Amino acid sequence: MGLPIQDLPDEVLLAGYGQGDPELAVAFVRRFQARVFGVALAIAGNPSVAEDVAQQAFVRAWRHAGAYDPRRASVGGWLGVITRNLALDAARVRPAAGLDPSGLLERLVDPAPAADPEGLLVAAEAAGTLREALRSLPREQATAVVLAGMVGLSASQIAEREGIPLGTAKTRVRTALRRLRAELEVQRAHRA
Amino acid sequence: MPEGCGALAGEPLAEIALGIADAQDRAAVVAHLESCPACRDELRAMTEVADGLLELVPPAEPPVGFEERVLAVTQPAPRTVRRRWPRLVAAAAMVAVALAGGWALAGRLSSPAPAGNGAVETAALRAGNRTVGQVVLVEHAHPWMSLRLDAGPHDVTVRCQVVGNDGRKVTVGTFWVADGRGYWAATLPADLSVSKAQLLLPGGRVLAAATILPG
Repeated sequence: MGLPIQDLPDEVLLAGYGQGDPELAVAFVRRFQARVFGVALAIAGNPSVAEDVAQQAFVRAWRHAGAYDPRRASVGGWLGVITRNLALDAARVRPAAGLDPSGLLERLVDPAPAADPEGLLVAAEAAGTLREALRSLPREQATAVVLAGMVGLSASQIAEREGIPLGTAKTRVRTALRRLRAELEVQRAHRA
Repeated sequence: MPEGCGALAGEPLAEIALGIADAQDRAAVVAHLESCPACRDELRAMTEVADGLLELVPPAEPPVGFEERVLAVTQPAPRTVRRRWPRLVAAAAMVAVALAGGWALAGRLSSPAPAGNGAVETAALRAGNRTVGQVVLVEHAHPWMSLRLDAGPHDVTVRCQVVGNDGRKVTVGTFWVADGRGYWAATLPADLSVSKAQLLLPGGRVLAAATILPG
C-alpha cells in the first residue's frame, strides 16, 4: 500500500531529514515549523530572536537526528525541548524579568486561534488532556510549573519572583507536576 | 499512582524532570536512580509530563522564507552526490530496534518509482499472523528503509541484511536492541533491487526476514 509523504509518521520524516532526503526534509520542516517557531516565540518574546532560535533548532535536529530515541519522547516533544533550551540560552542574554508568566500561562491554557487552524487542531488534540490538567491546578501551582518548565526558572528564582519562601516554591513545583501526572492518568483511564 | 519506591520522597525528582535541579540536588538522587527501576520509571513519567508542557504552546507561523533558509543550511546542494555509506553507519546506530524470534517483514512493496518523485511504500511488520510494527521503503535516487517495532526482547545485537534479485547480499547496518520497541532507518544500495530483508543474530541465525514481492 502506498502512503503520501504528508501522511508519513514523524519518525520517518525525521530520519529522512537527517539523511538528506530532499522531499522528506521539506515535509519535515513544513510539519514542525509552526510548532518550533511557536515555542521559540513564546519564550524569547521577540520575533527576530525567535526566528534565529527556531532555525538553530532545526539545524540541531538535523545534526542530531541519529540521537533521537522514540522511547523517550515524541518527535514533536524532542524538537520542543531542543527549541526551549535554545530559547532559554538566548533569553539569558535578556533576563527573564521581562517575561509575563500570567500571559504565558493564559496562552497555554486558553490559546488564541492560530493562523494555521489545522496545526492548532492537531496540537490541541495531542495536548488537550494536559491542557485540561493544567487548567485544573490552583493558579499558584500552575504558574510555578510553567515558570519552571517553560521559562527554566529554578525554585529559588521562582521564590524570588513570586515573593515566597524557597520551600514553598519547591512544594508548588513538585505538587503541580505530581498533580498533572495524576490528573493525566485519571483522564486517560476515563477515556480507555 | 506509582511514586517510585518511596526512598526519594521529598527529593527533587520534579525539578530534575523540569530541568531546573541544581548539581547538588541532582547528585543526591543519581546514585539511587541507577539502582532503582521504580524511581527511574517515576522520573521518566514526570519528564514526559514536563516536556508535554511545550506542546501546549500555540503554533505560530514563522516569517516568509523560513523554510527555505532552514533547508539551505541543512540540505546543501548538490544533494545527489551525498556520501551515503558513512551516513548509513550513523543511521544504523541511531535508534535501537527490538526484534523477536519469528518476526518477518512482510507485505507487498511496489516497484521502485523514478528518482526524486518521493514515492513511499509502507508494509505491515508481522510476526506470524500478528502485525507488530511498520516498514517504510522510500524509493528515491537514494533509497532507504525504516522499521518500527512495538514489542520485542531486550539487549540483542542484530545485523540487517538485504538480498537483491540477483542474489547479492549486503549488510546495511548492525545495531543494539536495548528495549522492547524502537525505530531504525538506513539507506539502501541504489543499484540493488531488494527482494528480501533479513535480520541476523550473532552467529548468523536468521531472527526475522522480509520477502519483498515484485511490483
